[in-house]
Amino acid sequence: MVDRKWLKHRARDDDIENDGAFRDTTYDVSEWPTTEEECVSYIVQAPFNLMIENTHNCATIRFSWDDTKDIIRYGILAYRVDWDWKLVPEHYTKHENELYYVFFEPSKITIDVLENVLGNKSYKSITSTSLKQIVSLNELHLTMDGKFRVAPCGIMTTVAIAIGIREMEIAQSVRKEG
Amino acid sequence: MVINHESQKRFTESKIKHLDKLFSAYFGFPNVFTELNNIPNSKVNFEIKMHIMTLLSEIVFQFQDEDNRAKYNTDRNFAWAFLPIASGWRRLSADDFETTEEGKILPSVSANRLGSLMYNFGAMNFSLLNIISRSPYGKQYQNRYHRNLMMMTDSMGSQIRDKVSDAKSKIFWKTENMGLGGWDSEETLIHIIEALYKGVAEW
Repeated sequence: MVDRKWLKHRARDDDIENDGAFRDTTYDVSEWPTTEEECVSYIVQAPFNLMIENTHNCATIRFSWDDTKDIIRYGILAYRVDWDWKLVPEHYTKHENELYYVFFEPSKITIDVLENVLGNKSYKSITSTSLKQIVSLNELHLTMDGKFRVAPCGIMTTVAIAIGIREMEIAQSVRKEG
Repeated sequence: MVINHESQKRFTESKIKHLDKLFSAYFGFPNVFTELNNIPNSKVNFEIKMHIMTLLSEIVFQFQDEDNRAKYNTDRNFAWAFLPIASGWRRLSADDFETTEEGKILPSVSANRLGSLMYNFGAMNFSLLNIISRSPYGKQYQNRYHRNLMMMTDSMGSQIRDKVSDAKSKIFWKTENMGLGGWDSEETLIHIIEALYKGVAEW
């Protein structure tokens, strides 16, 4: 049977209180791990269950503490990714050691973070945008005007699977007021 | 009853040849329809194959129509936003969907044929159009049709959340096999991309 239900629309169990109401999850930034060991231990466990190193089809991923340590307080992890599409040797999509960013909670990432932390300056004068859970500044993953691409993409999906993300969240990101 | 999928071919040989030439002229990928048509049903489900061929034929015909209109009318340039598939997608709204345990689906009979065409197997559609829009050799070799397709695909992609969203629910898509199978099954998309690239020279 072919699966047509590629897009899911639901709340995670973690987001629901016992009385059925939505839990307003706000992260306490002081809780983020501050060392590589703590961080690795944190992300390999439930509810994240992420991989530290892995290969899935054409994607090889490595968690990078060096790139993560300054941004984890925003709820962002950094992975280094190699992509080599074996089907077509030396294809233009091939890249090595490229940075990919994973958001713990995309809806909590503001446009200001995209601009000032990840360095994407394409959101000027925009107050609200869609954002998916993994982004990269590699041009393969940017729109014509430089924003992070939201549409499903085979490369990004393969990278997500390698990292251990089985369901990619699409969130609304807004600019911080004031 | 056993269905003989081979007998359900909706594309005649002459139509396939015509589409091959047209698609190559606009997007630079030769023999796409022939190669797609030749994929065995054991590798790509017949329904998906027909879906992809229908989608790509709609795209290339709509590009041709818009191109002709732009050539013979000076009131405006080629405008992807006015393509019927873009407006069909734009018209899709949360009200068009049925909620299931797994996610939102469109009813099998939808008044919005082109919106449904883009939504059904949507992860695969977007991935494929994304690859086509970059040209066979990458972004620096794009022509204006690739660029228009890229802007159209990106614009549609940015609206995905609005299509099914209510204020409180989270939106996800399944990553495994682009939502087209389980972890253990062969990936459909890879065979389709293989067909896309088969006729491209110098690879």
